[in-house]
Amino acid sequence: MTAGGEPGAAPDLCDLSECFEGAVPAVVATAAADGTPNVTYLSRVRMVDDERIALSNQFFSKTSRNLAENPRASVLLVDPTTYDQFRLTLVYERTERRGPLFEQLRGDVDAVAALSGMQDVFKLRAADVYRVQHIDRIPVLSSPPRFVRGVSRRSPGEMPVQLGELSARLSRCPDLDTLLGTALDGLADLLGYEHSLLLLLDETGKRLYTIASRGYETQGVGSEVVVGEGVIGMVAARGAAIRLGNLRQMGKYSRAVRRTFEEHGHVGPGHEIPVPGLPDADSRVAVPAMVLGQLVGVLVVESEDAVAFDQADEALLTVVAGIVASAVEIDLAQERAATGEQTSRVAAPGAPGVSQDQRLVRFFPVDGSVFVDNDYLIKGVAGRILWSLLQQHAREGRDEFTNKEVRLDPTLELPEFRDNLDSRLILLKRRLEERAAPVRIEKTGRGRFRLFVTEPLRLEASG
Amino acid sequence: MLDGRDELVLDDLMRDGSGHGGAVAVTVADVRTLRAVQLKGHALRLEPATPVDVERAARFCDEFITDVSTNDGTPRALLERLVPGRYVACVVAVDGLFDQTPGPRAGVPLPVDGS
Repeated sequence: MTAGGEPGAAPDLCDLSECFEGAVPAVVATAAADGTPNVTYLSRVRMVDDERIALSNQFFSKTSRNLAENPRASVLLVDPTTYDQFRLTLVYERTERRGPLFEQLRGDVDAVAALSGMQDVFKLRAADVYRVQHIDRIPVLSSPPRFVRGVSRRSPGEMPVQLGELSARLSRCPDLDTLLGTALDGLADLLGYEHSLLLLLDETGKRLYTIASRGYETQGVGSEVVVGEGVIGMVAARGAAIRLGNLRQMGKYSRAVRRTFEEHGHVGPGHEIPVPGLPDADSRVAVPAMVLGQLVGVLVVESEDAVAFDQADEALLTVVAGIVASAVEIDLAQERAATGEQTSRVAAPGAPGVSQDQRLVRFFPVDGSVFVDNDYLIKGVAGRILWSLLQQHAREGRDEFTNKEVRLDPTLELPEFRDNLDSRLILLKRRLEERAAPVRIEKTGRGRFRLFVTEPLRLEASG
Repeated sequence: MLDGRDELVLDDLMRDGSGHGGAVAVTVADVRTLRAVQLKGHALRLEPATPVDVERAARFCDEFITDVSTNDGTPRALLERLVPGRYVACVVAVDGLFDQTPGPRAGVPLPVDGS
């Protein structure tokens, strides 16, 4: 529905839902007791109920002083999909510093702060609640241009059907690797989310690593995000979804605030958070993938369109993320329950199809990073696994391995609890394919996999 | 001028009992950086907008739309919906300037010395 309902009709707050997406900064005007007005920008406005809105209050010193003297205010809201403007006449009612409404607004403000690494200094102080007395739609000269929301071609009735189909496809996947690909393919084919990323929480619980992506120039498999940093890291830290509808505009707002903090010594310079994803993304939804109250990962979808996603998208993605999280946990449980030593096969030396030019594989124990011919391949746990496998292959000619023996390898420094080994092997497999490395791994059964070395390698450990 | 309410506001502005017109606040921002300044003062008089005023306003709107469109990727057709339908000139005596850039310095007075 276009905000404001039918032209000419007096809009009510429910008609203004798009205005509360935070995509275009709102403006608030107050006046002191002597009538001196004050006009300032707002980072977020939220609808509280049919008669009330809440304004985020981070710095509002003058606005707060004015409200103490004169409770009347006016807010200008812009619908980001049509640029219709609405002027709300308000009366200040109360300030909340805790509770669900405060937490909602705090999440909104934290999301803006996370865009420029300011989550430690740019914080919500209070949620100021106002009763709306009147809403004016400001007349404009032209009709709104036809706006196409990123995934709006789905009708609301279709969504449960498509979600059901995706769930059915996921339930038929025989292993986690297949399921991850099916999930992101299904999000695109069935639900119209062309650009998606799935990150899993690592063994330490402090970082997320990209295990699958779709719709990007490079897969970015293995790229990492620190929990608590940036939008994705904040979703992980809070276990709550974040939806941003105008990243370019919001990023600019966030950087403007950051610059002010920097100029006055509140934070150090720099620290833009690099996030894997579309360089020109204007909308992003990140939802936590959780099971039994535990974070497993974060699912992210993006669009180059502004305000491409709404609450329904957030809900739908939360369902899909939950299914994926359950699958990861089931895989982990099965993996750990699997017992029995599997024997390893020794590859015949000089297997056909192997070229004679040696490729240099270098390993840096300090961070587990592996380079092939000086090109970075992978690091961390997955890097250590690869190095261990390659050494065994070179030393003993082995090419078949079991997860169990990998898990027991002390050089990998895997945690005893929740080692995510299967996920790490999937990450490694995808990264090797993405980088066209002279090594591949393929799953050969539950808890077993094979190493394919397609070119002669020279192994070298550094440092 | 956007609608009839603006006319009421302007009427009120000039009926202010202080003898020098009502209080006015205008916030302006560089849309590329969001550096913003709030100007506070009092209205001296209202005048019909001259052709020069209208031409200046049209040029301002065009530059604004170009800047936002370039920086934020917002389609021009959407931004053109913000353009007012008509103008009046309000002559304002500036009493104070305030930093209004989003952030902790919002509201801090700036020097008003004509420099």
